[in-house]
Amino acid sequence: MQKGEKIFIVAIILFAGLMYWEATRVATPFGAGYTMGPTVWPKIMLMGAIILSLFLLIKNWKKKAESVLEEGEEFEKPNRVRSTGILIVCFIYAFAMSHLGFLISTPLFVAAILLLSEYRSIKKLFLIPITITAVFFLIFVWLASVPMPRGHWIFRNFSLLFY
Amino acid sequence: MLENLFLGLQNVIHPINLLGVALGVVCGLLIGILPGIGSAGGVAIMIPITYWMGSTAALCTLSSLYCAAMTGCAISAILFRIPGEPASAVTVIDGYEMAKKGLAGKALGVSISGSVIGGLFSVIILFLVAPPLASVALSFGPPEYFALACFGLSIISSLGQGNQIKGIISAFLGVWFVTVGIDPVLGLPRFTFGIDHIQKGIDYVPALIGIYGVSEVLKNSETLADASLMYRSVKTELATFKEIISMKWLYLYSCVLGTIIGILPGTGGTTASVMAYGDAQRFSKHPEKFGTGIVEGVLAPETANNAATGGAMVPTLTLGIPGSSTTAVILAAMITHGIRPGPDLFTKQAVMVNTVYWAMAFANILMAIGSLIAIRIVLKCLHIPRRIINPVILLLCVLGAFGINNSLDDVYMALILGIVGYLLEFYRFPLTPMVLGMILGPIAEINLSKALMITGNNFFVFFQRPISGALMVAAILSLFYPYIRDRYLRRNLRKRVA
Repeated sequence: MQKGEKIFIVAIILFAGLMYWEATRVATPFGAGYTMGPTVWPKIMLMGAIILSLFLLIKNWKKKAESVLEEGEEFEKPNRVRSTGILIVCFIYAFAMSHLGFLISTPLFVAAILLLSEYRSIKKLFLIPITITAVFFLIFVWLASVPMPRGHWIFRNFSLLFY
Repeated sequence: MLENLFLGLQNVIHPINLLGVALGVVCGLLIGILPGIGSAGGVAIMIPITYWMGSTAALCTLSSLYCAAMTGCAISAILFRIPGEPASAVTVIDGYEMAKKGLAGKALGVSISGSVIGGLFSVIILFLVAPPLASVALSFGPPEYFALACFGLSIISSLGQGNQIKGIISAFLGVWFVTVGIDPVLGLPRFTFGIDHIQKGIDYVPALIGIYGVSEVLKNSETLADASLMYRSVKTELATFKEIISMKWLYLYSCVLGTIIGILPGTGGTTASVMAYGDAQRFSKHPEKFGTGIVEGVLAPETANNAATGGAMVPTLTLGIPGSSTTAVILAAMITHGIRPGPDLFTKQAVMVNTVYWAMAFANILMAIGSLIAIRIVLKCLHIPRRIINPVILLLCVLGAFGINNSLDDVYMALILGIVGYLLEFYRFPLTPMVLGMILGPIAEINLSKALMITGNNFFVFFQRPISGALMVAAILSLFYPYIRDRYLRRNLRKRVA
């Protein structure tokens, strides 16, 4: 068992334990003929996850780590910094959308992802995000009538020009 | 009856009604492919467009949209690993694996063939036995629904891909995730930590988008290997007549199961596809191959979720009780157009009912052609390099999650569950049991609670009623079947070696 896997399973146990403790704090009304409080079902699930995770941890503690690669698969060093960067950009995009609006934040988001994916052509970094935003705007806003965030202040006024 | 059937056919080939069917199919496929909008949302969006149509044309459009959306959702599930609808959540498992093996064309072809067969089968059932079937469905109470959910969940023991314990942990966590929010029976908040945004709970559609879609993009972005290679020479291969005959029992079983589940009020295509996938694995001669990319893993859920469309229309038309969330919106549209569903509908507006049946049959055939065209367009887009595809898929995930409730909270939830999905997959925890738990968990919880309340805490009620008893026994057997089978095989092997 890999060290990382052990830490991950311990994290599951701690998380489930914390949630179990939280469940015990929910006041359960005992009405006539009612045994299933709001926390009985989730408690069963959390207890199940804790017991099985402990079992897995004890059973495999000294077991040798398995190779993550399938037979014949070539190893290419994964770039974790890039995937973490993309994830952070996604969270920033979700946050920015409510302030800058869909129309401003989306091309910036696409450009940021392209930059993280080692895209360096300035012309393409300008054209691709605008094209993608236009296509998504057409599908989601015009065709599907999804009320995309407009943002605040001048960004709101800008979005009102389009939808 | 036959006279009404012919009058219905005559009605449906009227240009306005046919146009309605075609419009429904095109919009349904688009809505199915795009995650987040969903067939229920799609029907709701289309209602204002149908105002200018007559009531028959409007119903033809909306029911066709429903059928086509169930087919379209498999396209994004197979090619992008993002289920367009929750009903294609299990299609992802083998569909995407087939695509990774270079068999995307076969997976897409099988899903279309299954969808058409499933859809047509359920329409035939609608034609023949709609009213009596609806009354049988009403005999299902909370114990039966709970037993049904348990039976569906029992498949998790077979989905561990070599590590059953990790699969069961994943399922426990999946069931727990959807308990966050307001308790469905007493209305008390659980695990909300006083945060208002979490009170409405975790919607399983953004969760699915995060677990499958976001985690996949994160994984792919680490290497930037070109995805277009996977789809370079994809040609959709519909199932041949010979192939259909060779898998006739699986087709038939998925059709029957999908229709029955569809008829049960409040279940629909998602439960049907999950159950069909589970049963296909349970009864397969090679259950260990499920999850590695096999045809049966795509065929069963896709046939069942389309069979559920016709099934869901049974209680909607005959009793005025919607069989799924989409038929609930169709029901609202019917009332808007001045149609009152219920037993009277079959006597007073029998021709219109038959026209809807025919419209659904036509839609099932038209959507096969529409899907082939849609797939060609989507595949052309996939020849674009991975660096450009990644932001497009991420945008689909973000906007798809946003589109469910028009809420950014769902986007954050999809991203958080994307991290969870990524980590689980990295440490070889199967994702499918978690998804099954998210889909079937709420059905199990609310019906367990109701059943105990109704019976005064009689825990044996699930075994005392014939249908729930049979389902519970089947669930227990199914849960332990993989262990019993493995023991038996090991013992046999030992005997042979000795």
